[in-house]
Amino acid sequence: MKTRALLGSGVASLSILVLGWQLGVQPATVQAGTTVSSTPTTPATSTETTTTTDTDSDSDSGSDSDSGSDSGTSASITTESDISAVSYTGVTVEHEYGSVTVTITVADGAVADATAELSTTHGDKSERINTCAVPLLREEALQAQSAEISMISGATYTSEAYLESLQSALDQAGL
Amino acid sequence: MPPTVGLPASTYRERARKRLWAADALTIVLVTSVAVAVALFLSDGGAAGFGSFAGMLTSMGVIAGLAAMDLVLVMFLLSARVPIIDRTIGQDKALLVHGSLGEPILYLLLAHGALLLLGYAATEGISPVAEALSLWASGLDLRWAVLSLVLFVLVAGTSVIAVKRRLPQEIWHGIHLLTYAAVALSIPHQFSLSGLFAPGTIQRWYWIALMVLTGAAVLTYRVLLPTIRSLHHQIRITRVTEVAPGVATIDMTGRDVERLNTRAGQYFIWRFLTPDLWWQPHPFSVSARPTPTSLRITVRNLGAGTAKLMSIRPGTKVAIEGPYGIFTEAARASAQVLLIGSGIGNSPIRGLLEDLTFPYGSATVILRASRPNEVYLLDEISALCEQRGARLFVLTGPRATWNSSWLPASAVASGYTMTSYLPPGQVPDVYVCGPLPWTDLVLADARNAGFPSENIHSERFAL
Repeated sequence: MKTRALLGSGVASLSILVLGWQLGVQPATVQAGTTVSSTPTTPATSTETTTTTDTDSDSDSGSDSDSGSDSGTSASITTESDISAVSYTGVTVEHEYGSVTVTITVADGAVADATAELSTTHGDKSERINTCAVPLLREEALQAQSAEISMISGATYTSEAYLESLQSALDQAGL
Repeated sequence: MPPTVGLPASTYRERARKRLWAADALTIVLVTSVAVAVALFLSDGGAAGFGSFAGMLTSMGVIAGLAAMDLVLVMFLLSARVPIIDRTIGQDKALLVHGSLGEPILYLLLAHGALLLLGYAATEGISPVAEALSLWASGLDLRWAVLSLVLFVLVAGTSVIAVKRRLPQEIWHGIHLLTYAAVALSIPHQFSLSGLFAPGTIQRWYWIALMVLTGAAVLTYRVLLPTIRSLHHQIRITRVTEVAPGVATIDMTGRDVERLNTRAGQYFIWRFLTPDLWWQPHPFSVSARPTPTSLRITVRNLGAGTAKLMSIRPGTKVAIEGPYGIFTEAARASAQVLLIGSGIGNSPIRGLLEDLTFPYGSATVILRASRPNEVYLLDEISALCEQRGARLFVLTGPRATWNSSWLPASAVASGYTMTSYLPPGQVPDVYVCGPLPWTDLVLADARNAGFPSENIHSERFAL
């Protein structure tokens, strides 16, 4: 009976671990693919990668405004000189664990896209915070069309720096 | 009336088989929950971290933290008096496992802190001291987590048996409750500092669900259910009878007592609601088969707390937690029984003799004491033996000095063991209740006799 419990626990645990490992390996290859495709537009950082993936999967909330911003992204990339879509880069804001520089794309007097360039001085942990917080901040910024957006809990420093940089970009754009 | 007929042997074997399956399933679920916690990390791409030395330290640190938190929740569940756990392994065994998890969890938590500190420091190429300072400055959540770790060390320290013996039970128990604070303090950093539980992830929902369900189980079965039962059943003491010097039988009554479904051999945690006793929880077995209107316990004056029980008045209100335990008919694996009691352990043995099913003449009772006047409840037990056709052996006299045995020196000198008191070839259910070191000797003898472990039953009280 003890052996049965032991064997059952071993088999169940091992299967779960293998399953988890498999799930963890797959998204990594997908990310590698998107990184390549986004390299030409801006200096590739790991954050931008997730920004791209995030917009793809974002079909649940505010779908119309989101799809609009998606096309806006591609427009600003291809027609950089076009007067209707102009990019403004905010000041680089340093914080405890790195820095944030937000670049907005303005088309027809509205913020069509926001990208962030991040550097971290705090390794894996900060990177994890950034990769989960920045897509959320971007989404909020696009919806609010201003820097009056709520902070992401657990990513206070990044949020504050993002907002400051975003505000300076908005100021430049006169929005 | 007590059942005088037994059931077919196959019924008992089937019952044991089901219970063992349930116990194994429970073990598998609890062990696998740790694997799931680690798998959460792997499914988030955590395995990639093992590529570098610093990443490996960090990943190991995260895994240690996840495993520790999962085991903390398992520990909570094991002490939460969850009915399904009580029915399959018994609350006393659950508490034994609960106790054995404390030390591994402490090591995991210390490893969690140390590995992450070293891992982060290595990633950034700074000294661990500089990293510690920078982490400390990184926000409140991490400071709470450090305080949580300090509390865990404190709780584990006081739980070490040696310490437990020197501190009064109530103080130790109070410190033990700090675990709840320690866990609460650790929760913010689990969600804010690890991207693993970032908003919107499945991992986050799983982790929250785990915590909420465990919290609900603790609240329901440790707080709400006992409170509701105490209020509804309104247990009161009807009579206190001194059955031997320092030993009293307490009879109680209340509303809908039969709906508690108490079996002989089970125990309650009793609180006698008098100004000087209400804060002391007493775990006592019922010493008789409960009737639809009454419950009975027999207690011995063992310490400052129980001394006051002797003078408790009829009419005193009693708060209850329980009934708990499978030191009952539910644990049966065989058609025959052997009941062995010593000291106040005779009390549940008396109840079992009344309640267990067995054919007339197929039970054996052994009562062990140093002196004849310490064979508590002997009159009642011998009357029940007569009624149900059970063989009764009263073994008195000092223990052997030349080896350790649960039997008196005279029996050891004659070469007797447990099987000497049984009909040849019988493999009964053995129920043992008495002082712990003595109980261990009896259990060892039962195993030496070749009885399967599912036939051997003992109850250990612990709060």
